[in-house]
Amino acid sequence: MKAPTVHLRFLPAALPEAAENLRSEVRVLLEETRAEGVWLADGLSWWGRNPALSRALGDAGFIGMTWPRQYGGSERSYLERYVVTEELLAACAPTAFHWFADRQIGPSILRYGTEEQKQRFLPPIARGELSFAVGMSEPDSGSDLASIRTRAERTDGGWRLNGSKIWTSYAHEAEYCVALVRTEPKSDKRHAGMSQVIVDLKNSDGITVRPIIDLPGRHDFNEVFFEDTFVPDDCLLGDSGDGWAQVTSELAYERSGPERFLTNFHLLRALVDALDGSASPGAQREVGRLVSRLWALRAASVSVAAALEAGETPNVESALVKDLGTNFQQDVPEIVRRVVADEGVADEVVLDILHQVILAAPSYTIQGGATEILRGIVARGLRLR
Amino acid sequence: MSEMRQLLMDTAVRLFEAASMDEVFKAVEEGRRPLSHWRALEENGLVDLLLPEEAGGAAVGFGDAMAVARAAGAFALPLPLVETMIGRWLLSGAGLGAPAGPLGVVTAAGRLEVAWPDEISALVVSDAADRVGWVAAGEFEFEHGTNGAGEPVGRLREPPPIPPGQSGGLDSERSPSTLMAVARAAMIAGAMERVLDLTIEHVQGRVQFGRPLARFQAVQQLVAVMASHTAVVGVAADTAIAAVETVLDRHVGDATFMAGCAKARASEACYEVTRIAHQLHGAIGYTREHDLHRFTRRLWAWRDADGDEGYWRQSVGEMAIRSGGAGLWPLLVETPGAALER
Repeated sequence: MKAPTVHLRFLPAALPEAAENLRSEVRVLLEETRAEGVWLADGLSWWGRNPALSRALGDAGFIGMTWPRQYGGSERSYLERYVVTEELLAACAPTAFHWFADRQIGPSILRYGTEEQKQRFLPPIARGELSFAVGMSEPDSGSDLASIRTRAERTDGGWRLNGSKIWTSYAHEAEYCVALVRTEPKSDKRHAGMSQVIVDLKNSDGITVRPIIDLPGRHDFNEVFFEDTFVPDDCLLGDSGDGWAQVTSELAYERSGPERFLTNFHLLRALVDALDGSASPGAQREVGRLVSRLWALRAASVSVAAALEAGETPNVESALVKDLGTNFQQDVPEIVRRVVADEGVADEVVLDILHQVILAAPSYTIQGGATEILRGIVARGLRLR
Repeated sequence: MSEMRQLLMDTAVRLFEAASMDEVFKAVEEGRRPLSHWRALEENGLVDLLLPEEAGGAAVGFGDAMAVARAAGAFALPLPLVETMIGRWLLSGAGLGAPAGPLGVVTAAGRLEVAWPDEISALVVSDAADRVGWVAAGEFEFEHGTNGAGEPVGRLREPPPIPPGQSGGLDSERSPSTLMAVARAAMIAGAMERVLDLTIEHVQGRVQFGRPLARFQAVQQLVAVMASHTAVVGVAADTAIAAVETVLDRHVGDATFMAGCAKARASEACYEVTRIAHQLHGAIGYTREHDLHRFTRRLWAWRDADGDEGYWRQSVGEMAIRSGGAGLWPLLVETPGAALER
């Protein structure tokens, strides 16, 4: 018998001192802005949208942290960004205003955009002044993203868009949307002929935004319709036809981040606050069960972050973290629910958050890659398919 | 991986390969003494890896030594190598000489159970976090039993009293229960990697309905779940080991929280990993003819050893509740030694 093959690489990683030192800076900023009434932890987690807080974070250099200074960034490492992100999540700070631009759209513009696009979009994103939405899914294309039908046809000086995007969070408020569209008709090559375009949501004709109220009763989803919407040439992102490669290249950043296991950390924190030394051994064990799983997930996530920092593309490992992380997040409200009942916890804060989290939980394992798709990616990484 | 770690891993793997594990297993399974294979481990210095040079050891770092624990797990080593390695080091840390031969270890976290009670030369006992001692074979009472792997264990009613002159104080950073917990988590990680490996091999080779099992989506999804638990247990064990090593190197902080999280997570994952492995192996996995049982049975034994998930969840939960809501996040992200840097 030989040594077993190591199928997936998760090297243990520690965050460098420079990253650890940022923690207190973030905590101070959050404390001050909260005291000033800029934001409140309303239990909506990072999904809340607060332009004033985003501007404060931008002023402090916490948006676009890894980007070059000439585009408004602060040339920090990805691990430094990681610490800032997890501190924001743990504090339940509403960051959706800049979230998508900071996490995926900014990096895409930096990587594939023209010089003019970088100068035009990145500095205001980094200042926390410019908000982007992501236009990927369509009514008939959820997990099967390559089946999108929204098309962009050549016209004088640009492209003419027709079709619709769905689940487009905050399209009713964001200034821009980056949409994945077909610039060539479907062919045998499923992933060919797609491109990314930057659409000005506020100043373009032929755009209708239809609100979709989600299960918890909030409005962040939308369906966005394009009818002969004009997109100028200078808003094509990257090369025409390379859209698929461009969107998939950023997936590891999107999937392995701490938002995949910290989205309802505030519930666990509230539970721990409501319990005290008189908690039963059973309640202690349930808290320890959640905390130990969370700690282990973070160890895996930090490991992926270190791999990304080292220039690797750990797509399989990222899919794995997203799968386990979101399943953990779904277990949190169920376990907390039992503890609350068994211990007779009457704390209003816990009960309110629990109620909200139960309603939000079904989304965790769907958005950003459904569980079954992610497991398929892991299986492919293990060479089963 | 450091050069030393790779070297140790390779040495351990070579030894375990050469130890004709099949014979060792058969001996265990037939109730014979497997300890004739013990000498090879001693001769190659594996039991003295952690001891300082002046005590005749190799003064290897804790993290590097744990590569051997992981390899022992990957071979389901049915010998008390890790217990002896850590037991000897604990005694040496308390200023005591260690008796020769294999050792058992009983800590505050584990059940009062010792593997190979008739084979060990002494029992290392730590009833409190900061004291350790030893009791020679024949001088403590126990009842015979077997663990989940079919290995003999001795069940103690209470920690045996340590004879005068055979105990000493420990630095707080060498908490026996913490060290044994992370070592056991590393063994579990190694065994899980083997179980995953065996399962992948099986589903790729086994053809049903005209195609390998691996081509069925239902099978792929199960393997993915198993691989995920295995990967997280591996990185959790490594991260906790690194925390222990930091505490040892800098003489500051405490890795109990990290060790507890890692062992709780490792023990918890044993169910899902073994369940899927057996499901996918089908009937052949439910036999003593296939190797799978050697690893899954040890996972069932090891999840209970050195503190099961219930014990460590409670320990972690107590720490979390004590930290309060505001302290919970710092507790989760704290790295031992950070206080020193600040």
